[in-house]
Amino acid sequence: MANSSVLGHPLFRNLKKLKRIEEKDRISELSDELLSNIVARLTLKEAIATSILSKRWTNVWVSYPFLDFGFLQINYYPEVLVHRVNNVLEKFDGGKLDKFRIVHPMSERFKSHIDEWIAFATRNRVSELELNFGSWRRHEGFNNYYVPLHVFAREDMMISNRSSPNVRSFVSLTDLRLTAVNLSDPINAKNTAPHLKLKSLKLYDCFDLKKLELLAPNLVSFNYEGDYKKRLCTSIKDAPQLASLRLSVETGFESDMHPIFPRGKNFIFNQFSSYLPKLESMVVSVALFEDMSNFMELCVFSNLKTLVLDANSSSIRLCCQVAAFIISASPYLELLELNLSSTKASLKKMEALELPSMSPHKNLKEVKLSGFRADVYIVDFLASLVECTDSLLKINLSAYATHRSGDDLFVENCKICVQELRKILYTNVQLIFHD
Amino acid sequence: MASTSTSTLSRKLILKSSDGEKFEVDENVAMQSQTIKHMIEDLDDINSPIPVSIVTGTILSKVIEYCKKHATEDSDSDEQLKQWDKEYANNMDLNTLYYLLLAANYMEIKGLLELITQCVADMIKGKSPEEIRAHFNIKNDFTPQEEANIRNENPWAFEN
Repeated sequence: MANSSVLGHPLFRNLKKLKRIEEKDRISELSDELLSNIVARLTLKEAIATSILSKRWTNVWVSYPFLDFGFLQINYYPEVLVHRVNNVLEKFDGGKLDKFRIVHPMSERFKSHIDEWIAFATRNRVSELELNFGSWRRHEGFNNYYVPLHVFAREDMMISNRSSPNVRSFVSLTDLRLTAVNLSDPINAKNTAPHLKLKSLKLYDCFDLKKLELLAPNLVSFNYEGDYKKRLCTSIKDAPQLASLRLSVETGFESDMHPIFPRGKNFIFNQFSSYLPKLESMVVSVALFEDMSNFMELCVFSNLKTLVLDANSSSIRLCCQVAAFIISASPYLELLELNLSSTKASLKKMEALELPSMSPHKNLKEVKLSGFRADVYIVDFLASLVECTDSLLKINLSAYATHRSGDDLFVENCKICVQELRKILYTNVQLIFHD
Repeated sequence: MASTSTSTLSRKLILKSSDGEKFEVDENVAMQSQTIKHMIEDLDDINSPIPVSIVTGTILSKVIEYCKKHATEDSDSDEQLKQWDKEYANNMDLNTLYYLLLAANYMEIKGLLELITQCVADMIKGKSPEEIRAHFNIKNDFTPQEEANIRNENPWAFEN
């Protein structure tokens, strides 16, 4: 009896009530929409794992919008990946797909599957698509996957072309990254332009890419990195929004052995023959300018603020010339960076350094030079730059890192160069040298 | 805060919870709820209480606490606001989180909805299915065979 009076105490009643509420499974009572919203904040693996919780949860994950298979380990056979991806896609029943990403070595052998994946992504109006099929030792008979570029074609054209009903255009794509994927045809161009929402395009190691023509009214960022053995003709014909451009090519050993490799001068000519009014940042390899005879055809970069030139194995002389010509075409440039790490020093002048006649530059504030070494062309170049720039505040030189530490002669030569430079600098220009 | 009622900038609204509790709030506080914003647009008499039909007084007071904090943007840095959000969510028991989630969804308060869904997602992260079930009191209604079938669909998702 005493017990019942304790149980009857109001405080105890409340505790009991509280406990009962706590024991209730509230989360499973949420609507599909809210549960999906929660699951979308998990990783793909965690999201799929929720299917085991209870019957209510079995199909919650199937609308998961970020199909990112990037975490799957690469040491599996590609067949394992294909199996896993296909199993997930089979279940998927979502509307809008925000992201589709595969990072795994894949070859043309799996074409039928990969085609299906791309078709799946387009069908589900993907925004961000990344196919990274590289980073494996490329053995004999390994052929890159060819992306079927007709997927970029216009939707109404595809409707009339019933031959590939599964593939529609990327009407919603804003971000495309391809690594070790081949592109056979031009990413065309006129027909797709009104539909293409593409904001960011990144191509890495897309071997055999022969022609790339972009007419992307919304493109903000374009990255191309890869080797450059074959003739590549790229042009960005109309990219009024393009703010960031990166063209990094590796010429590598092979091109050293075959110096007459066609470098595809069309690349750069077409690239810059168009007007890029919003371009703010440009990172380019100097190698792209080899063979280029007439720098005067460069367009005016009316908004360029940052220029980074990567010399790779090109000569310092070419690097200086390219820098000077782009500076003279970019009235609002503020920062110039030259990376000379893998060039060889030219100890004496073989050819004269042809620099454009520059009217005084009023905005260039800083020059950064890495891989600096005592080189006749560099000293000449910096001297002429100082002379025709009113706004220069800072020159930052960091010396080429020699493998042999304590290469006294090298450091000594650099110091002599720096001293020479100091003589011609205005007092307000800061010169910093790291050896 | 102590502004006159004639000022249009800081008009007061009265929100009425499902259990009849009334809350007087600044218009800019209440307007963070898209639902209330739309209701006001259709309202002739701004002085009559606005019913928030599915939200109880206890929950509504917590919703208003969030909205007040986020109505005065300039007083705190983003970092401070994030910290406040974190503490706010961490102080809720599961039951309150559940009703807050329903309220944020019904009242269309984007920030609060994001905060609570993320908070629930964080409770799921890093837990085994058994631990998740225990945390949320989810009853496993599968037969062992059914459970095995689901595991076999995507076995890699259940590996550690």
